[in-house]
Amino acid sequence: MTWPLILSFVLQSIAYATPVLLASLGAVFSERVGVVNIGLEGLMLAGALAAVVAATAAGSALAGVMAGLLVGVALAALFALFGVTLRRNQVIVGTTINFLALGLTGMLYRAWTTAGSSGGKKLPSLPQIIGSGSVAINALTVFALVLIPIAHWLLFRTRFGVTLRATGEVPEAAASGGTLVNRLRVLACLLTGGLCGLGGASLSLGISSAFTEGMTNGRGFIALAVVVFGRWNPFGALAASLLFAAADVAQARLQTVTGVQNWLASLHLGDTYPFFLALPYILTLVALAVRGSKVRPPASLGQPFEQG
Amino acid sequence: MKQRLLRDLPLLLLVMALGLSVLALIVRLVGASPVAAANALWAGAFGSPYSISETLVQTAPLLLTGLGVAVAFRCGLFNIGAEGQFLVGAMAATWIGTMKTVPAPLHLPLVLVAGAVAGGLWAGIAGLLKIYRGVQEVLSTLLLNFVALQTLSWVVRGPLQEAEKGFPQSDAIAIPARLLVLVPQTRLHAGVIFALFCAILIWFILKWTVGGFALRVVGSGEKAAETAGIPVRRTVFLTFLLSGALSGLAGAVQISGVTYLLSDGYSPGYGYTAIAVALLANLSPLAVMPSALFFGALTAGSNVVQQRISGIPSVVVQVLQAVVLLSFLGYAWAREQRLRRQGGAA
Repeated sequence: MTWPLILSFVLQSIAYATPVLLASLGAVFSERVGVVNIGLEGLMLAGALAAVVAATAAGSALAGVMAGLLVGVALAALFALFGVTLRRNQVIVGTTINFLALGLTGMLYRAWTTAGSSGGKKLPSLPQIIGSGSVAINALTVFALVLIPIAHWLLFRTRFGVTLRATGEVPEAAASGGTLVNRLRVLACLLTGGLCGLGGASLSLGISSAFTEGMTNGRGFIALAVVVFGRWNPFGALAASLLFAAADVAQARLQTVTGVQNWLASLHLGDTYPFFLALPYILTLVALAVRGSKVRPPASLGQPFEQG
Repeated sequence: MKQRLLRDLPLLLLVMALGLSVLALIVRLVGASPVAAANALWAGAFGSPYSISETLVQTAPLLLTGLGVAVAFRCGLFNIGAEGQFLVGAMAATWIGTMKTVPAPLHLPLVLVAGAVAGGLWAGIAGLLKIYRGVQEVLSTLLLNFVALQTLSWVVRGPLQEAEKGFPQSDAIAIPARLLVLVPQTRLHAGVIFALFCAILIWFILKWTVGGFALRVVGSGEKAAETAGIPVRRTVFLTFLLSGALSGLAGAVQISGVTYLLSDGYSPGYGYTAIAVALLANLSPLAVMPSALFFGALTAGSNVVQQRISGIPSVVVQVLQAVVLLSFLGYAWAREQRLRRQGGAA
């Protein structure tokens, strides 16, 4: 291993971690206040499409990022309406959001491309801060990294954070202290939506430079696992999402190493690339299993609340 | 009972009207005609004897996976991994089905058993992770779906690939391993009846057996179940096995009844639709039958919509499901509110 190789590996891992990092930061807030949102995947996907469409139309990456944010918030509002205000089961509402996002993005993207609305215009890319090509660190990644200490401060050093966490543990107590539990929860959901939308934008504008159907490919679910593995804590989420991104980058690079290819070919297993693609999910499962019993989620996670 | 149904009717109609308007709006948005889409949907679902048979063909896997989801949810377990369990079941069924050495009369039963066992074990992983490591089944089952998807992608390019090695698909399973076709010129197979039988069996198990009782008690509260002396861990694990076995069986039935071979991207999302099926049925095994029929009709119908109407891709079925689910959730809320108001007055 040479230094340039290590450096490019690290940079690429950080870049690849961005979508999951942004989504999991959002989920830290909503889970801390007692909301479990399986719909992160769908929120990210919607953000990814909105970003590509808006960025192409406006010829500006910033417009794309803003569109991703807004669409994420809008879809999260739908989640909050059913999952918090109407007190429906959050796992079910989240699953529904995933259906909706997968279906709608598929339909709208098809309509957009067949209408020729992109007009052959090039998709603007996010401003790059360090490096270039696949190892570039773009502005959205820097934004995500800056967000972590802020999120930590907000959660653990402010009155708002204390209220948020108390609500997630014992909503009844928070409510008798004057907190409007569901309003706080809706707010956290919207924040999650915005961050997931940004995560989607960082995926479609930053990593892939395109939108494809179902492109999030389980990243929303990995983000949920990252929250657990990172113990509902922003720095933990950073560490966990870097770990998973590094695994992802490593599997992509390992596949192309001649020695590895020859060894796999000698095993006569046929095409083995699916093994590599399955690796991040297996790693996530193993990580959850190793960490599992040592962590405790916020006590009211997923429980609906009715203000008396 | 009848009276209550009648009183809920206006609300139900209102919710349905709302849902339909949202759908019409979406169809308009992508530049197609809602009326033409609705016509195509109906034609594809119930328009001709053939389309009715197609609806039933789509109903069978949804019925079995829907039962699998319902069983788990009844026990308070959010198994959203029916998709993966379905795929693993289909893989195991294909493996046994393409074996040359199996005695003919045993072939079909073995294929179905293999599917059920594989699906059960796959869900069992999530069960063990939950019981021994405290991993939320919501996460583990979802992640296992992705692992199953990649495993499928590998087996159709590796151990189960067709002899000609042309496409990422398996050879066709042996003739004795196939389910009987009920009506010539259609794909309607005996698996549909088998699935109905399973629904009644699961209803019986939940309602009349000790295990089913334990399952329901655990679902209504683990602490209460423990106090009542019910072995919670064992019940949870067995429920995972049963739930996964049903979805795995769905995969096997699909192989031996419809496609006869395994291919890449084998499931059009039956395991996810199953969640909607189970919820619309209020997790009742008997109600899963009409619910699966409804979603089967939607699936068969939207296949035709997609062929006939340009601008509407196959993912439209996901949107349909989402709108149905949201309507149902809204309806459930409104009903709850009204019942509560009445309760307060009484």
